[in-house]
Amino acid sequence: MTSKLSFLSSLKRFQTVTQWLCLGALTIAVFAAFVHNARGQEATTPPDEEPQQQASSQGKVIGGYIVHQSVDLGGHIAEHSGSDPMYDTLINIQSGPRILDQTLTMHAVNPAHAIFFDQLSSMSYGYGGDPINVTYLNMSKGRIYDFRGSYHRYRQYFDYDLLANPLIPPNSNPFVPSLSSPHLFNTLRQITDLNLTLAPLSKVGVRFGYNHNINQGPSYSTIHVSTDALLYQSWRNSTDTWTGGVDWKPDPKTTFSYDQFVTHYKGDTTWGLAGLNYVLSNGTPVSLGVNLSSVWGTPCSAPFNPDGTVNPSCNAFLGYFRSAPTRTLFPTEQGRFQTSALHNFTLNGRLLYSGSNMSLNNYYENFNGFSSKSSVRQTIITGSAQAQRVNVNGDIAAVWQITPKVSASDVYDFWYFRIPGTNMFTETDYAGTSMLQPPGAPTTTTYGDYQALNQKTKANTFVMAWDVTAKARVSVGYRYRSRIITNAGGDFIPIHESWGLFGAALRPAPSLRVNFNFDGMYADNAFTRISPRQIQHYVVRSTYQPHPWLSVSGAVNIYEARNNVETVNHLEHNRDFSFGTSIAPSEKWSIDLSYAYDSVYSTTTECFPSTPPPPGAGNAYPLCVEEGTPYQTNGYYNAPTQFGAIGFTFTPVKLVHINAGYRMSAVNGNSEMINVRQVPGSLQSQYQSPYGGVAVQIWPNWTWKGDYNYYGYGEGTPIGPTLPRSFRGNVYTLSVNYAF
Amino acid sequence: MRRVIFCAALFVSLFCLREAVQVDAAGTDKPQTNAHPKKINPADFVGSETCETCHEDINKKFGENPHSRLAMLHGGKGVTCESCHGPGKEHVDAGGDPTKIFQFSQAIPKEADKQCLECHEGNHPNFERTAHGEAGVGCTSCHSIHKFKDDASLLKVSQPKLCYTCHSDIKPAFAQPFHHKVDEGLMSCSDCHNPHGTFKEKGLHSSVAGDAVCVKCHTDTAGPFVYEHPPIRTEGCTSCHFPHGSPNPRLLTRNNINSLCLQCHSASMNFTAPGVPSFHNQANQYQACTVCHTQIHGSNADSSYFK
Repeated sequence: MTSKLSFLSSLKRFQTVTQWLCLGALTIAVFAAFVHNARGQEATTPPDEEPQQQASSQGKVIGGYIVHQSVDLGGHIAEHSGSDPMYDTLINIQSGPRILDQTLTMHAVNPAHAIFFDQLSSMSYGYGGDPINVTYLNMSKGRIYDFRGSYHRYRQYFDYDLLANPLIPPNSNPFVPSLSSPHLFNTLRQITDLNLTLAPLSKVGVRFGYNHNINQGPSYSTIHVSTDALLYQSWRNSTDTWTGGVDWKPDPKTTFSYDQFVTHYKGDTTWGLAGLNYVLSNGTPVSLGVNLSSVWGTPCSAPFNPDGTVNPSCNAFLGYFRSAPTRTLFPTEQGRFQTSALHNFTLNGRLLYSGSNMSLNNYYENFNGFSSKSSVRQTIITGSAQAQRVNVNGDIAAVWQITPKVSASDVYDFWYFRIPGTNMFTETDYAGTSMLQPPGAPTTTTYGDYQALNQKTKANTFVMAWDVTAKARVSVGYRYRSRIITNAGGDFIPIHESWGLFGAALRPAPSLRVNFNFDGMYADNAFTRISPRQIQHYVVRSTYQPHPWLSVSGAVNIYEARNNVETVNHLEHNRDFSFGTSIAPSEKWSIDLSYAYDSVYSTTTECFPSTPPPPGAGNAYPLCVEEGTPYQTNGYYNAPTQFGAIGFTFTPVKLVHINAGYRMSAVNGNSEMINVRQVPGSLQSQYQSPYGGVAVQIWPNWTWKGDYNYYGYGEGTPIGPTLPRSFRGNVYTLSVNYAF
Repeated sequence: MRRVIFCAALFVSLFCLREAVQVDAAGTDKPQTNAHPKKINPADFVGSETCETCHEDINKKFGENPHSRLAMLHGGKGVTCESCHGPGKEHVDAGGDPTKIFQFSQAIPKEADKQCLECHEGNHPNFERTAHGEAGVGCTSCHSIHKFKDDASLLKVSQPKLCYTCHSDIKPAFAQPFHHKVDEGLMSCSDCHNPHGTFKEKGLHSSVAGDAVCVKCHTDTAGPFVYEHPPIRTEGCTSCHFPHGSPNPRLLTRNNINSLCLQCHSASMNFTAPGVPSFHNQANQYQACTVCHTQIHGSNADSSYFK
């Protein structure tokens, strides 16, 4: 009672006019704020005569366009253990904020009122630090124009340390292993593609295009001058292609097209000496190359003085620079036509002529060091080179629907290229016997060369197809191809191929399709030892979709080829067995499964010199022995690969979306060991990447996302005298998506 | 001189563009589209407004579809739905009987393709005689006018997932350690292949100069070089590289470079490739061929591709 009286007293005190007014004002203010915020989302409500649009996944109407936008902002938290170079080579996702995704679509409510475009769509992702960044932009305005643009940016890092690695024997003194690939690179490629079509629906349409491709960045390379020096190669090449085309449709079923392409290539890559890790007795830095090994006696039998400085009479590099600025112009003309104006007859063809010119006008190369083989202390080479390529392509195809069930097609292809080239160099060699002495007397020589490579190819493919029933189609065909390869050395290599072609397309039910194809080839000659003289290629593909939510597919792809002539005995096969299934019975969940087994195999008789011979090498056939390569192996390479993937999505409630899965690719192969130091490396490896993610709509138009990706690579063989290549990486990606 | 004449002809033709942009109004004697082989009675067309009365959802979204441009033909009175599905009068008169109108989902691929190719044959003249066409993989196997995921090409599912549904043997290649970045979105299957067919094998594109499509990105290998590495031009890049993915670095067909090179460079009768010289003692030291022969795709300065 007392407490109740106290409360009432307190209430009376509170019930002053001022206090109530304040409380009321506060309430009104809160209410007004709420209403204001709610209306703020509709601040861009269009005028009354146009439909009201809510800012939702259906889009907003802005300026006469239905606009959908979304942006995914977030970042990666990446951590990895093991081989950093391999992680950067295969994955290269680092920590940091990102614009993970951005989309914009605009569709005109009334195209008649839209000025610049009716439709616009744009999409970008990966910006902020991912190795792959992509942007697409498409715009169109009715019958006036169509524009498509794209930009791709790719940071390529490669350091698979076994590639070109000399595998220095550990018992070398000193032991200086190569811990990176001598051909490591860290380059950036950017490709821009722009295409504009004017009057796409009219009888005459005009097309313009521009492509810009630039590849630049640092890398390592090597150069052989008595020993192999490590070079710093600064990649820099770019290509610009301009396109103009006209399409003329004299009638609705006939089109004539003409395209003019002009491509300009600029190659400005330079090479300079790297690896100056040692010094001469006078303190001058010197490079002994990548093959420093006392076991092999490289770069010489005694590369070091007792005081640790470099023997000045050893093969070594004090300096190296090479520049070969190359400019190539490729103007190309192409005419095409297509017509189905004739009853039951379609015809199409194209004719292309390209005459390119390469010029290298200021070749410069400077070697400074010592080459014991020729007692040369320094070499300077200047000169020029020119090459042309004439490329003619002519193709014509005809399809005749003989009866409603029987058709015949014939395709004739002609391809000719001719690549002549000349160069002229002036080489000045400065004699010497020691790097501690300046270059001695010069000797200048001038030399040039002429080379050419030509090939003429003619092929005709004839196929008859029979629709046996509405559910079965069979096709049989024959292809004859003739190639003649010649060169400046007088070689003349004619190759004649005969192909048998068979195909069957079966559709026993609307939900089931089975396709079978067989190609068989016989050739009377081959240009290289691994070019097949016989091919059998069998492909069976099947897709079955008994329900809209269930699809199953499978493929058997068997490729067998051989060039089993004497002294070659080349056999190869690629046998692939795969299947996949997708189960999505409802919007709540789905599962995808894939499995494949691929057997890649080849053998080719290989002969080579080797002292001592590797285990398993036999005596080579007489021709090889005469050439000083007395040992042979069968060049065995076997790479059976298994691939498996499972992924599922689950949406327990409308606002939550979960996905997870696992991918694995494993190869357990082996190959002939030509050198005892060889390690199988990547031929026995596993590469797996489980993943998971969740997306939660935390507010209308706002979705929080969390993704996890694991990357694991391992090799199951000896590492070799370099660094291990296995790694494990975890990448967490957190982001917020806003759709407006 | 030929180029000058061609360019002049092109310039002159541009003056015709202005008149050509004016699309002729359709008359009974010159239709812009001809969806059916049999004679069409214009009175059998009911107009998309009639279709909308039952198919409101489809009609509502059609504005986002590039095919909505069909409405701009025939002087702005163009048909849209019936350009593809055929005259709708019979279907309407029968109370919406689906058998009285062309249904893409029920048609055999060849018949469905015929509808699309009425307009698109100019862009895809090779389709019916190529692998997809002969295999019965028709337009609607990949494209959907009404339920598309990919705006640009109206694909049912975006690449590469769409392609993997049949080419399940290719999907594993892009999961190998060294692969072209298709799954990562840097490139797509259609960057190298034209699913509608080309004059080349496997529907491959060629570069603008008629070279292998590879040189569109890998421009430094395009040449021409004074010293070409001949198999690159005559046999193709796949002599040494797997195009999709490989367990081996640089997508090479072998894990060991010397073994790859010796496949061709072993002394043999009737082959022009020189055998490995006798001083290349394979046991003397471990040395990859490309440590010395670095410019292996072609050189302007050295016949042994040293530089």
